[in-house]
Amino acid sequence: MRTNYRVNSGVHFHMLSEDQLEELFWGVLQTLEQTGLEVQHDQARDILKKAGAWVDGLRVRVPSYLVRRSLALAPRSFTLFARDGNPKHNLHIGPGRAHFGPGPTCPNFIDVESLERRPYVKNDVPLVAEVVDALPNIDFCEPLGAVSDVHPALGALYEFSGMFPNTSKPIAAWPHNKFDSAGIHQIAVAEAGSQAAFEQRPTYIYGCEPLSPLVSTFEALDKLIFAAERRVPLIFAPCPTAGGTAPVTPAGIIIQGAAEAWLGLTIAQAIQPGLPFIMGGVFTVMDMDSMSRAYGAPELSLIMAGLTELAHYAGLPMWQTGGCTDSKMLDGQAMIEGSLSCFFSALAGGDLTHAVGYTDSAMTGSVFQLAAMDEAIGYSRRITRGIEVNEDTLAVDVIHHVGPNGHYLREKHTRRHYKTEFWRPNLCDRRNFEEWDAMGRTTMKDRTVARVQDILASHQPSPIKPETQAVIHQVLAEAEERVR
Amino acid sequence: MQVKKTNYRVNATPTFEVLSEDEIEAIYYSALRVLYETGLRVYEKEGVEVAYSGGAIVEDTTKDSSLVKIPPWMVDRARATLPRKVVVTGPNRKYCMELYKNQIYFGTGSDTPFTLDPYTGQRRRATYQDVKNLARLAEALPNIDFHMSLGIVQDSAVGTYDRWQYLAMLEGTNKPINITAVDLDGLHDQLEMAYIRLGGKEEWKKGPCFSLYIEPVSPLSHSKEVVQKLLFSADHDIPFVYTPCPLAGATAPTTLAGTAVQALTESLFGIVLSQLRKPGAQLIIGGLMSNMDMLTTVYCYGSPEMALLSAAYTQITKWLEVPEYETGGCSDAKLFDEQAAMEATINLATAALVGGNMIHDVGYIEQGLTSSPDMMVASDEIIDMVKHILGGIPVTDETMALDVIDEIGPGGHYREHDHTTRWKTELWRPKLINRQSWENWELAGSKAYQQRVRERVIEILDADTQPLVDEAMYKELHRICELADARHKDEELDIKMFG
Amino acid sequence: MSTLYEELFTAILEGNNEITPRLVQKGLDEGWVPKDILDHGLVVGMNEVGARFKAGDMYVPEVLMSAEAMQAGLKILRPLLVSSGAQLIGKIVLGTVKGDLHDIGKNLVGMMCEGAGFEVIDLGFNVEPERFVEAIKQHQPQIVGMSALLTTTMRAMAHTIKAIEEAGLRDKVKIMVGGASVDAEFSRRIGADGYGSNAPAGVDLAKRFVGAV
Repeated sequence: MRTNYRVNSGVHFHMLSEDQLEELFWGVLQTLEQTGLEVQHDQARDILKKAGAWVDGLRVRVPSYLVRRSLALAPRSFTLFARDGNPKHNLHIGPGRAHFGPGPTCPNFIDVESLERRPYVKNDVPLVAEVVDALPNIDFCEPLGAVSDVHPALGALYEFSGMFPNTSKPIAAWPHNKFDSAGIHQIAVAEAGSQAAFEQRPTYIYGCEPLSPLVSTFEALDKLIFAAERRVPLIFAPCPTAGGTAPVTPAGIIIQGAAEAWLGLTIAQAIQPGLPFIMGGVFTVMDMDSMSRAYGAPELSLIMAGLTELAHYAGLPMWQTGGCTDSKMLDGQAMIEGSLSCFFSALAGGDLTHAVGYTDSAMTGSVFQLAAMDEAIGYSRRITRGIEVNEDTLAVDVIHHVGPNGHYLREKHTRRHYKTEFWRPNLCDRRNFEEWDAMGRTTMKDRTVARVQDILASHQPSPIKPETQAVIHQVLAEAEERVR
Repeated sequence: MQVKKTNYRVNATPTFEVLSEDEIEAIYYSALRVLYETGLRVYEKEGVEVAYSGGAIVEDTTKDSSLVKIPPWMVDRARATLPRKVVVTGPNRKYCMELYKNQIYFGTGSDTPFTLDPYTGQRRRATYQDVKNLARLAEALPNIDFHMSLGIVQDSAVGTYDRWQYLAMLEGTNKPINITAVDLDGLHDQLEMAYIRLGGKEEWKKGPCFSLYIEPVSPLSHSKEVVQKLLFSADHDIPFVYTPCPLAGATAPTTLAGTAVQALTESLFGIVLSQLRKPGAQLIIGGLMSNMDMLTTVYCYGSPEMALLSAAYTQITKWLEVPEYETGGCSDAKLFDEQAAMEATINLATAALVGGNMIHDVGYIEQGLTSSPDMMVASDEIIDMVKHILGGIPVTDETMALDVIDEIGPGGHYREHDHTTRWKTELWRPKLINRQSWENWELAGSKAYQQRVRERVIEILDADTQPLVDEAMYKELHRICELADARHKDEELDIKMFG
Repeated sequence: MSTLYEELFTAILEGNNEITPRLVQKGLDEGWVPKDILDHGLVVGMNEVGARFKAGDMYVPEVLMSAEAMQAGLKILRPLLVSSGAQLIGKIVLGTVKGDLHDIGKNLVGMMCEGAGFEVIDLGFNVEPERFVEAIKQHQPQIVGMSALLTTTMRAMAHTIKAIEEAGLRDKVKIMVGGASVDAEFSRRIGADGYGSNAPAGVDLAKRFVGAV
């Protein structure tokens, strides 16, 4: 037998060296300590001051020891739970684990029947959730759009109410303010049974977005405080644009974005030590011709990979971005751009990779893009899983037994391994030409559309408790009342 | 005073590995064991003799083959003279491939029986004109570094198609070519053609303008043609790609590690034999290694296992210090659709990340039976994107821009700042990828990516290009092809096989 | 369907090459007619395997296990079937043609044909036309199958058919061809009787040739 045998469990990918990460890390701390951010929330400024930050009007500078202490408190690893207790739908966040899901906010949607683009409405939310629930490589849920046919202040509430009953996978919610935050939380707590039960097994994660460059807005912080007080795991993620609201260089945008995140981190840990906190965002470039943020740019994959490594270096999980495209339809471009970002997030270990299903530079959500990316994620995961090298897999005795000009099709070794060694595609066609021709010459797009329509026709997510359904009705009614 | 950092190690590019060094060694020592205990079947007497004189064990000799077993010390001796770097140039030296560890080059694939018509998309057998057109495409695409035929010429004599193929490629591109040869006579003819193209036999030494593709059969079988080509190549300083195409589950173990062991055994045999014949003979090893799809029985070109295996093998060749033949830009789709785009994107990214030297088969679809010009053009753009990511993230005072961040401050804007102006030239510019708003895209015709790609293919093919080979040289080259046809005409069938 | 047939059906589907011959022997001991055991037990089972494989519900290694089980059962039945004069499904001679060493496709065809109940004589690879002719004379198969990977070696397919014609044996056999570069058009041009685009298609073709569909 062999000793001193070091193996790779999964592939190894590094965008940055340890020295580069250390450099970036201290660059972020320097920005927080010497430049500081504008904090537009009185209570937040007080919390920071009490914790030891230097407050000068709206400008807050955070000394590096305070940031590092906050980083040390935040967990690298935690679990988001399936609301129905299905262990397969639990999300274990931790080193080496990349997860994927859609995103919020697209104003438009690709209609699942007509395939036409139209505004996103509240009836689309259950559809998205059902598809998320059914797809094997999608791990968490977001609405894939912003509902346009309800009062603007209630959008997030309707989105959560539409997702929660239709998938048992964890949800990332993006409330607008304290009121819909309260409503969303009420629903989740109802299903969990109590606030204490929810704290032990959180089923949703709460997203806030500060403003680049270096502005912690009132809205973002008000929401952060709400989530922290109730121990809801928190995402605090800006969306800077290189060359616009952030430096154009990858190193620069990473530093600025991290500083924006760690300001929120400091407040959150001061309120609730040990609160699960996820940094990240959508960091990309502006396209020089269209002047829009490029969701399919290779720079996105590049920057997000670097930011992921910085997050992990600092001990935080990462809110990554992938599976999105600037294409206006499900075509070769959508697959190239979406696969590239999914693959690089898988390589970097992006803890929660969102925006899967974004098309048209995040203006249009598409469950078809989502379903096609499910395949790209499965593909990427087979690669990042790597190769096992041990006596059994080296198969020297099998090679000897088969010998020159033999074959392996009937070997016991083959039978033992083929199911686990080979990935089975759901949407890739591997027939020969004659059979593919005889079966209708489908493209992957055809098969993706068929798969989505099949899921919507037949998939049954597990139901929520009747009590929770009642709470949803109540919450929505109260909210409607409030805005009247 | 500006103090520069010391003791600062940088990833100038991202790094990627599948196997640990210990795992590479495990595969290597297993291959040595198979080479010694199992052996390989060799169907060429001269090859057997060379191996035998070098110390190999020869047994079980039948009328057409022997079982040859290679002890480990023979491999060590061969590795001592194995070149770590191989150079292949184009015929006019404008393009050059320096093949050594982590230098990546991309290229097409060879000998597909079918091709997709660039204008109609129809699948049909490849012709001389197709091979020439595909070479012209390769010439025009900046991220294609070397070229292979992407089609078997099937409107010429069947037994001599390799000479016609080479001529068609020479007409279309000045990039380095990886040729195939029907047999030794075909190789001999193509070498003559190369000498003509280079302007003389002496020019070959200054930089060979082709490498030869040689493919032993898995498992563990080296045919007469394969061994003859190997020996000839060693004798004539022709760099050759020695690549088995093991099929995990069918002609190789189902486990990827086992397939790597078997493929390495086959490759090491090529190394040992070539170095015995001529120390310093130039090889490039690797291969198309993939799995059999256990539902459809096909040899997968687009599977993640293909990408993973190839990447693992690349690491083994880097460890052995020999140039590598990787695979990427290929798919099992039957046309350039979303599946082709996805498979090519991920397998190209994987091959580039791990540092494969000759990343071939760009443009292959349908399990390598059909070539697609659309796939080629799209892959060129994919490679461009991947290369951008491979540029890594420079971390310097300039790029971190702490002073700029401080200067602009909360709520400020970077667009007009000097720093942005200076650095925005580094941004990636799309070619066929479209980032227009919905409205503008609709106004421009609501085109799918595939359509833009197709238009670009036609644009390239319809463009007027200067002939790369002048009339006099063409005549000389053509003559070699004709002479070959005449020598082999009795081997042709009475009927027309194709077309 | 009797219990014996049901048990055989399951044994075939599970690819159990130990239980299958035992069940066959048990059936014979209990007086069941060999041809019935073949048709209603083994063949029905393999037909189901074929259907499931086509539907993507069974994998190649599983199909081959079932084929092995089938052959294990058939081994016991064959001499009884022959002596009783019953019609066997058929005999196939297979080979990769002269100059070609690639045979994985042919091997797969052979194993799947065995699964369909054929007796398969596999000549191997690099098979000269004369050896095909000899094999036809010796074994009297209903079908001859040829495989070639390369366009250059495909010529040997035409030479082999010619050799079979010259030996006066062309009308005694159905000839099918296959291989990566082969297609239906080429098969027609050289005068073969049919072409299979992959191993399962080859088996279907063979079954059609002997009227076993």
